[in-house]
Amino acid sequence: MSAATPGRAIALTDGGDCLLRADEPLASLQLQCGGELPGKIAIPALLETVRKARRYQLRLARGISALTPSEAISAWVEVEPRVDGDEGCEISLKTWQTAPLPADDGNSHEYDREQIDNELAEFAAVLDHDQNVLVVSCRADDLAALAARMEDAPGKRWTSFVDVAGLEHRQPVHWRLLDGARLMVEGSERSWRAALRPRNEDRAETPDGFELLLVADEPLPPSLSQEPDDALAATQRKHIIGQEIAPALRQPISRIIANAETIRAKLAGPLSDDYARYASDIASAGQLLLDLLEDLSDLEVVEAEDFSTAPDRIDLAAVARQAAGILAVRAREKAIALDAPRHGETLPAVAEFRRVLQILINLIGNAIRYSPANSQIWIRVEQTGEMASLVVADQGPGLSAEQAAVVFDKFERLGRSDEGGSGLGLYISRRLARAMNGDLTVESAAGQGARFTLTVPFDSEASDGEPPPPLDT
Amino acid sequence: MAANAGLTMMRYGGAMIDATSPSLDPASPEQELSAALSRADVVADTVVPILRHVLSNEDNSLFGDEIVARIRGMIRHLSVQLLDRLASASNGTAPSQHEADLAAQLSDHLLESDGLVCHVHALALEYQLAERLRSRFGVDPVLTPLLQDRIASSDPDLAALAMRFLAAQARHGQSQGRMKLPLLELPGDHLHHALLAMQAIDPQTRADAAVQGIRRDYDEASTRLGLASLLLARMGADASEALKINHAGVALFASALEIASGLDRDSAILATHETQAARLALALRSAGAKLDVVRDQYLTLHSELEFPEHFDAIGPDRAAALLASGSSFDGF
Repeated sequence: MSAATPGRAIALTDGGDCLLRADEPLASLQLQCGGELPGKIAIPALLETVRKARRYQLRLARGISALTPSEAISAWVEVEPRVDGDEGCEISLKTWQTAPLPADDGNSHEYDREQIDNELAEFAAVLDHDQNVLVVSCRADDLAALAARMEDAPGKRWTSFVDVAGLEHRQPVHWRLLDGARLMVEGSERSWRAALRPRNEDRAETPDGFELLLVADEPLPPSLSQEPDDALAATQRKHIIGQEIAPALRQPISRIIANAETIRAKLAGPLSDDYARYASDIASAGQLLLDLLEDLSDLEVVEAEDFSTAPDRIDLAAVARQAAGILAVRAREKAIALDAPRHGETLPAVAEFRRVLQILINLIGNAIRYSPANSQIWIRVEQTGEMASLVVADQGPGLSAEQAAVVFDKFERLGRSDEGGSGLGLYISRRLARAMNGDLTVESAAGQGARFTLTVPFDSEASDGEPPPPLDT
Repeated sequence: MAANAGLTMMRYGGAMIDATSPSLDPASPEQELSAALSRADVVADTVVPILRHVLSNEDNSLFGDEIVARIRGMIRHLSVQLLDRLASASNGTAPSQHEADLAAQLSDHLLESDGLVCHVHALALEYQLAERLRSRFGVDPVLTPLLQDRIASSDPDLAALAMRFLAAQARHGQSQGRMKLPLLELPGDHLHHALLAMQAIDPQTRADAAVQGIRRDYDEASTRLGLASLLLARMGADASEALKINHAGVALFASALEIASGLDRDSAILATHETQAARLALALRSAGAKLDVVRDQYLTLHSELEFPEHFDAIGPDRAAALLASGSSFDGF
């Protein structure tokens, strides 16, 4: 330890435990601990003492210690709450000693190194007592070739697969000389270090086996670790909402909704009705946000240039029944009767099941939302030439000619400002229908309800009564 | 003093016997009686084990009669001093007789702080240990060899500091002999709790005045423990001398162990108890004491115990890690 610096360094703090000013050596320590001057006290032990002195309003005197990158500091400070009306403290320094950081304990250092190697190793192999390779496992792309070569020739000495620095002729060398050796591997541009661990515990001179770890000096450069497929990367980047934002937001929003529902249902205890209603508002706003997120993800997908659907042989009538079943509860809440195709009725079509269901849920959901209570919604399927069509008709207010002209536009909500939706549903549905070589249209007159018609290609082969062959897609 | 954070071992908090917990839902008289009976059973069942423990014939039990009496005495003295301060703050006259129940009430409040109870318990153990070392090895509890060296130091500041500690230690010995503890000798954290206790029993403005007065008079740097830690800080690397208990005396030994091992001082004193021998060995090792020093202290304190085998395999880092993991559960 160096000798104590005599004299008192004075520092002042404020009510928020910020150092207003500080003399050396305290000022340097504050900066070395990552703090600023003036700024919040960055020396943990000092901060604790100052905070207590301020809170207790007592003169405290404590030994504190701190570590800088190069030194261990121990000091003895007196901290006195200021009486001048400010809520801060005055710090004086009685002793100040520095010592080099404690030298590493040899054993524990070795132990730490082993742990670090375990963590960083990108290649591990089990060797027998002659250092011949038995098993390998590899998690570095640039060592995959090495792993393959070793696996193709089991039982060979591991040093014959790599270039060990300073080992010109590949003679058997004592394992202690290889532990820590630098080496190069064909196929990898990185420099590697070998860690050899004898497998027996009693540290006999001739171990009965080894574990070999290869540790690199630097991580694999990113350009090598990825397939250099720019086109693929570009497509992936395009779907930012669906692939990056939506997954991150879905869980927290769902949690908001779930918690708001818990409050609304007063599951956690009695609550005034006003607050329960607020919770209900929170839940429905959260649900809207979640729907919007789904819509935006879909929008992103359908607007991508390479968007395509995966057509399959489906039964349009069955999909309609399924969609009606999913929305039956919502319809019943408004006492709306859903008249779906009867069981037994079929209409084979070529389309992607998932997408058709999505369109139908959107159409029927809209119909329920905008129809009066105690009304009826009809869902009919029929074949019209080459096409299979499905009609959703309601008894709602209908659409004027102007409204019908714009209803499929993006973000079009026909002047509605309620919390019903994003104005994306019909736009997405039409894009989906057209991507399946079909279409989505509307016929309506104000006051006479709306008729939305989805058409997709009719599956003529399936109607022959024989099992249809699989589609070539 | 590295505060009491972290490694406090003693936890007396939480009532072992809780006979009056109110029941929330109204029950039939029969149910209530039955519940009261089962609570009473808990109390009845604990009587014998507690008595057996208290009555056991060990001189240096952690809960011996003397220890309990010392704790009671010190807490009582703290209460009386606080009441004196209250009284003089109210009318400026000499302290009057306090109502007995007010002192008892204040004592109860003081006992609510685990930290304060541990501190007072540790002081009682410290006094007892110092007396034991005096009778067994002739170590003077006040003027120890280490302190003599410092008083004779060529560094006048250090010599003066050693003298101030010597005086504080002598006063402390006299107080402890009378089972007393001056209020202004408490570490800041505990004094803070004492002030809160005083305000709790007397929420009027005179309590505020009394608190202001105590804050004005208090200076942690001049307490015995403050002086001990400053003395050790000024000794720098030589502070490791204080890890030899017969050379430094119990007071400086405990403070040195606190600084070097990270145990708080009260826990460091508790570690000298024979039930805590493993903790003592590890604390000394983690404080960087050499193996023979660890063994000497261990055998000085516990001549009847065997020194742990293979202890030499444990380095300071490992000892510190063990120590930290050991304090996460109560007692050994």
